[in-house]
Amino acid sequence: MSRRLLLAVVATLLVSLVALPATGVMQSPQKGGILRIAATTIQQLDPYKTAANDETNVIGLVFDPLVIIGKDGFEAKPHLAESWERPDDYTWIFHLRKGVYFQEGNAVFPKGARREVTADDVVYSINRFMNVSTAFTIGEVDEVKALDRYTVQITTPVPNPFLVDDPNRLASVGIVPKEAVEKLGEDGFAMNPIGSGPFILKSFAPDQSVVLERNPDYWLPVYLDGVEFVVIPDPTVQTMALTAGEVDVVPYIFNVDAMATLSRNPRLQMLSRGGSYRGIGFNVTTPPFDEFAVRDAISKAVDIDAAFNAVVAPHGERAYGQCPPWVPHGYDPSLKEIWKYDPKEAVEILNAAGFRDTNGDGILDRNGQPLKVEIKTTPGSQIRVLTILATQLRQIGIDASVLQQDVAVWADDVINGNTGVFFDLSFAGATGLHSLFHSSVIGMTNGHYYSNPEVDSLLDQALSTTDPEAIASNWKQAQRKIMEDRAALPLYFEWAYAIVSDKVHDFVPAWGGLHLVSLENNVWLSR
Amino acid sequence: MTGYIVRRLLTTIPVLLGITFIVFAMVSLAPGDAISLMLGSETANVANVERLRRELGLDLPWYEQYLRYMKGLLTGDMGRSITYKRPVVDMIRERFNNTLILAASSTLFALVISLPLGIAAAYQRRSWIDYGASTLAMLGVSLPSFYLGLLLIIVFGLNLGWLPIRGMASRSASLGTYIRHLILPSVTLGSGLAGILTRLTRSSVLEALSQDYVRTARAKGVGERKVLYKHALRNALLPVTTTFGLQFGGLLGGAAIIETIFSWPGVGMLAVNAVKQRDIPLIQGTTLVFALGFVLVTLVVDILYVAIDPRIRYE
Repeated sequence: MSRRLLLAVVATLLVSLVALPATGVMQSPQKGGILRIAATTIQQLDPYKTAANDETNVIGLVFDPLVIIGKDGFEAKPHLAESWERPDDYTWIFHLRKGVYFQEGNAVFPKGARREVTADDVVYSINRFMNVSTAFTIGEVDEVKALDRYTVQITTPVPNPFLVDDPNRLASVGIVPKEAVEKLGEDGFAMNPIGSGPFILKSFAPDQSVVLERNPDYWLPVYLDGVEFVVIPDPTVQTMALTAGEVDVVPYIFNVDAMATLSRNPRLQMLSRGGSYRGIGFNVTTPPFDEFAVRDAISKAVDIDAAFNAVVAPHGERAYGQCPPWVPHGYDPSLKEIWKYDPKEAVEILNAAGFRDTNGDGILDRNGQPLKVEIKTTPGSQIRVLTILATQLRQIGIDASVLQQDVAVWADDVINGNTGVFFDLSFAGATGLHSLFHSSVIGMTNGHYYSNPEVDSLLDQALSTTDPEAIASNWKQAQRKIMEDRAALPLYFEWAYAIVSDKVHDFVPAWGGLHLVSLENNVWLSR
Repeated sequence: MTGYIVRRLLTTIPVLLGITFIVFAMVSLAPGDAISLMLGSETANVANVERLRRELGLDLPWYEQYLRYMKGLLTGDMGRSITYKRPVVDMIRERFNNTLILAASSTLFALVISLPLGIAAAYQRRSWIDYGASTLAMLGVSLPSFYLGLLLIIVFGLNLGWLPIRGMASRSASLGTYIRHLILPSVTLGSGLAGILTRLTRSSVLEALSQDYVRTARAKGVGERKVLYKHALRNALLPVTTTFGLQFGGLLGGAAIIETIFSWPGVGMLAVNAVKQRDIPLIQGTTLVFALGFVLVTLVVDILYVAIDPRIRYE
């Protein structure tokens, strides 16, 4: 060893010795404690009847899904299924973990009468999920069948490449015991859920609290004594409660405005995972937005970078397409090249399309009609971004404004095509591009009313193969085509944050359900 | 009297029917519906949502939906929440007592504050008590409750740390804890009513004190205390009682906002959720409960009249 190297090693050792106690790294997990999580509303706990994040969080602790989405990257990891294979494009085979039991000490499984989770439960659960859930779908399925006590086979009419990796598909299906649903009834089960998860429901008062206690028989060690979900409907009060130490976790902060104050608090950890796509959508059937020139001109008239930097950065990333970085296919920063900020050219395009300020009011018009852009949006931090963009549109003579709507009204307008320009939001699961732009879902999730046979075909091809390369290539081509058509103007991806007290360890923000105990993490509290 | 009460109870039926109709029509004709909200999510299971729409009859014209709803209601079925898929009656039952407790404690707070303050202000007119009471009353009436609520949370919950900032204590909690949880929401919800009643008590007592019968009583040598409580106050309370009855409706309406701010698991919070989700059966159910509450309180107030003023007879 050379002298220099020896010196370097000694120096490094010394530095680590000094640094270790100060930063307190590598504390060993402690057992005990109740983790208190803030929730906005909790009305029922049937895992298949929910669309609400907070209910999904509780459900993720009481029930075990076959797979959960891994904490690094966004790929499925084993949970109740120890492994799986795909003998062909249409068949999935899952091998279940042995020795996992439904929770006991309840009306269905009395103490000492626990029952093992088997393939029949998985078959029953997936079928019930497909039949009951309005919020999620696992895609088309021909048959779910038990090959033996611990093996389940799912066959699909077309390849279902996202079955395990999409957080909203199999990862969302907690396995339920048939006899519990039958014995307690649909309504009873929604109030007294029984699963095989790491926590057992102790008490549930809707819109007040959910108290869970450790499942002593769980197949993994559980450090926490229990978990309490504390209902606090007002987001401002949620962050106040976190600051005051009344809760340990606020699982979702969707509003970046709140981040500024929270990030200054040294006793809080800001954990980010995934987020949402935010853009401007055009209803391409509403005049004058049915004209490519108008949409193109609008895209060139706005300085999105400036608005993004002023409002969102550092809590997001500029978007040039709809596919976010956390979706394993389709993220394409090279799309940047198709967008340009050039207000001069925007005016020229509009002039060429026949828009001129004929009456001297400063607003471009055509055939006596002023060029009007009313951006319909839900409340949120995007309003400030949209306001900046609308101001820029006004500067080139477009009568632009932002109309803030109640979420229900906005959704109704977007779905029914009662829009010209609207705030485009997607939580950007694996198939978000399909939901927003495929012609088969016009008037449902496709509020752009965008219909392009070429794009449809590319998306269909992507959804009917299991080859990741082919999926990514088709997805990217479709996305490029949609963006070149200016059906939407991507603005940014906004990170979603969970804010967690510094005494909480190993917390992984929810992605397809909250998991405090898994093969990858095990949450514990320091005293 | 019994005949009167029965008659009054019977008249509530058309009132409640009218309310169901108006609410149903308003929600149906307003933009936005629960199904659109479900379809608005990119992960929606379109086939199941469409099936739900048909099953619940949400594809029918609104008046047909109303008739279906009323048919159910007359057989005691308040329907199921579209969003939460649970029986509306169960959801209301779980929360009704919580709202009642909050409304009662807010009322109690308002009365305990406003009556003594109003009387003192009237009796010691133009003194510092009078000016202080008027200022407080003005603040109570004019501060928006959602603002006052957040202000109280910040001062007493966060800065001083004296009181819990959210929610109801669990059933197993001690009475002290229970009351501590009640204080902030009750003060917030009751402050508006307290303000109005303080001002009204003051002016009514002032008016009563200038009446001939008070002068006569004083001339007879009746003690001041007796003049105030027996002669003036009893007459002054009549308008206060009327106003209280009318304001109680406002109190229930305010509960929707206060329950949300203070995470109070009551019918008001449920109503806010129902409106956000355009969940018609749940909106109908919660509105009916509030309407029924209002109608019953008005009835109780009318009956109280007789006790306060023996000249009044409902025959």
